[in-house]
Amino acid sequence: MTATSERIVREPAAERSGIPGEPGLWLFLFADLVVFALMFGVIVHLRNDQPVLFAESQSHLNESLGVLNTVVLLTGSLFVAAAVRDVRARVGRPDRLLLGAVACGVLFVVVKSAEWASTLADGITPSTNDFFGTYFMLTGIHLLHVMIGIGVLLVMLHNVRSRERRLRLVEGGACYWHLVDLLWVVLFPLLYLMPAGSG
Amino acid sequence: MRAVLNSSIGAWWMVLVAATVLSWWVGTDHGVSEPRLAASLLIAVALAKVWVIGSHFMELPSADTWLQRAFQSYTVIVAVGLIGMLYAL
Repeated sequence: MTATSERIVREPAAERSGIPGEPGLWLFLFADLVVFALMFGVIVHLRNDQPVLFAESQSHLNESLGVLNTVVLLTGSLFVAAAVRDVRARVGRPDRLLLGAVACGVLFVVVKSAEWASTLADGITPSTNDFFGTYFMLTGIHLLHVMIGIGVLLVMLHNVRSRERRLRLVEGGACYWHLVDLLWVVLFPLLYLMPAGSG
Repeated sequence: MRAVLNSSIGAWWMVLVAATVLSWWVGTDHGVSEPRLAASLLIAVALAKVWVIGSHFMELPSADTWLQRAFQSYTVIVAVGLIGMLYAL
């Protein structure tokens, strides 16, 4: 497939808007952002309400793996942003960039699964206390987002490899992946790093 | 990969990674000794990273104004709300 054989499908000017992806997608993205904002508040409330339990429980988490997974997701977002740029400019190999992003998503799932397995092997479960109940629920919901995101990336990859590239699909899928990234960017410091106590 | 890193989004990726390392440093007893101040700093850095992801990866500055404003408002409200909870409760 060469650049000259590809066609980028754009919407008619009357239907075009200054919104990356489908406008309806943003309703979903903002709904997700609001739900997660409430969950972030639950974590801070737990920290204020049970500081000793929060600090003791947090010490069982592996910060290094949290940092690794943050860099992995940021790198996936970099690949996706570069792929969108290349699709729009009709240059480069956006399919390779998207494959790189898929690899980042899979690596995140592997690292998170290993982390969970290690925690469960230590006898810590969601019912151990409020902190771990919150930790497993929020990281679980986020992990589900990552797995859906990998599926979205594969759909984008399929489209980018086709003769008729749909820019709006690629932009919308990219925004979903960035949402997955930015939710983790807040979840990670709140769960793994935020010190307890009023000092 | 080198071409990606040499682009403007590559530069912002490096800023985001550096901010992650800064948060790690602050959150592991090396930076700020006062817990609430350290927690506030972590939240502020996290939401600043969200702002950067919206601006430079999601390309929101080229989107409709209402979408930009909504995203920026979300970032500020979450940051102020979470930091406010640290001190108010």
